[in-house]
Amino acid sequence: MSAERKQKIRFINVLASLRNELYFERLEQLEAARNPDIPDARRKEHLEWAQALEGWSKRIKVEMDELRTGFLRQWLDGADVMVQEMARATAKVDEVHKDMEQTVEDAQVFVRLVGKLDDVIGIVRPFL
Amino acid sequence: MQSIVQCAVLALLIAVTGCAHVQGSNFAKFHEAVAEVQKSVDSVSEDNLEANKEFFIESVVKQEVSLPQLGLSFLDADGEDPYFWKPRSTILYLELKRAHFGLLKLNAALLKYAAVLETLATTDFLSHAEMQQMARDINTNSLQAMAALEIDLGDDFDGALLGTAAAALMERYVLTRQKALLYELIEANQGAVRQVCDHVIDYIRVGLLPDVTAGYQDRLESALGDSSGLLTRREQVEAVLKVNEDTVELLELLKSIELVYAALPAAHRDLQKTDGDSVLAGINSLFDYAIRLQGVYDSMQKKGAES
Repeated sequence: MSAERKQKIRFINVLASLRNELYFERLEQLEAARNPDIPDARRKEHLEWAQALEGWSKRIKVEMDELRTGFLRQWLDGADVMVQEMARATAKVDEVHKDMEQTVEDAQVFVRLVGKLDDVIGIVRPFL
Repeated sequence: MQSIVQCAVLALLIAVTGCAHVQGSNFAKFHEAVAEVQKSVDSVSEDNLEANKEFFIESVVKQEVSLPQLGLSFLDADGEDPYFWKPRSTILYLELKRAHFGLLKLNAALLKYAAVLETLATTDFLSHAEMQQMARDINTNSLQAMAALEIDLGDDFDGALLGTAAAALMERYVLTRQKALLYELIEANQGAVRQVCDHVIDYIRVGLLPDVTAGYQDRLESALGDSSGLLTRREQVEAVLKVNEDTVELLELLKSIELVYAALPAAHRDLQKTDGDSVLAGINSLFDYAIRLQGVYDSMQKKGAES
C-alpha cells in the first residue's frame, strides 16, 4: 500500500471518528439546554453551540463522502486490473493441469510403444 | 516424446533428491478460507449498501440532496463500454454500489484461483495402481519381445525389465513434477494474491468501516427517532445499548474479515510447504482466523434472524 493511500485511508477514518465525537458533544449541549435550573441566556448558548456542531458535522460528512467517492473510483479501476491479473493466474494453473495430463499421456504412449515392440519384432524376425 | 526423455532424466534426479507429496489438505484449507471470507465480506458489503441507501433516502427526504442529483448518466467518455453507468453527481451510495460489484468480481476471481489451485494439487494424475499396471505391461511386452529375439537374459535376470523400484520412480516423477509446477505457480502469483488482499482491505477500510463509525450516529438517531421525547428514559437507554452492541459486533466482524485477508498471502506462500516442514504458521493462522470469522458471522446472522 502506498504511503499516500495509507494516509488517505487514515484521514477518512479520523474524519469518521470526529463526526461521531461532534454528535455526542451536540447531544451533551442539548441535554444541558434541557436543564430547567439554568438561565435562558445560558440555554440559548447551549442550543447555539449544538447547532454549530451539527453544521460542522454536516460539513465533515460532505468532505468525507467526497474523499471516499474519489478513493472508491480509483479502487474500482485497480480492482478491474487485479481481476484480469487473477484470471491470467488461473488460466496458467489450468495450463499446468493440461501439461500434467500430457505428461501422463506421454508415459502411457511409451507403454503402448513397448507393447508394439513385440509386433514389430514378429514382423522383422524372419529377416533376422 | 520430449517428455519421456525429460522423464528419464528427472527420474534419476528424484532418485537422488527424494520426493514429498503435495499437501492437498492445505490447498483445501486455503480454498475453504477464501470461500468463507468471501461469503462474509460480500454479505457485509451488501448489508452496508442497503443501510447506506436507507440513510441516503432520508437525506434526500430532508432535502440535503436535490432530486436531479439522483440521476444516472450513461455517457462513457471512452465510448468503449455499452453497459457503462455512473451517478450524475457525487453520491456515495451509488459509488459504493459500483465498488461493491467490483468487490464481488475481485473475490470471485480469487476464489476461482484457489479452486483451480486445489484441483491441480489434489488431482491424482496417475494412481499407484495405474503405475503398477503400466510396469506390468512393459515387463510382459518387453519379455515377449526379447524371447522372440532369442536374447539370453541370463540366470541373474529376475523376469522384470521395469522393476518395482523403476515403477515407483516413474510415479515419483509425476508427483514431483506436479509439485514443482505448483510451487512455481505459487511463487509467480504470490505478488498478485498479496495485491488482491491489500486491495480488499482498502475496501473494508474505506467502503465499509466509515459507515460503521461515522454511521453510528445515524443509527443512533434512527433508533431514538424524532420521537425521542415519547420514549421513556429506560427505552432510550435500551435503544442506545442495542445500537452499541450491533456496532461493536459489526466492528468485530470487519476486523475478523480483515485478519483473514491479511493472513491469506502468507498462507498462499505456505502452500509450498509439505509434511516435512513442521510449522505451517501461515495456513494455521489463516484457518484460525477463518473459524473465528465464521463464528462471529454466524452469531450475527442468527441474531439478525431472531430480531
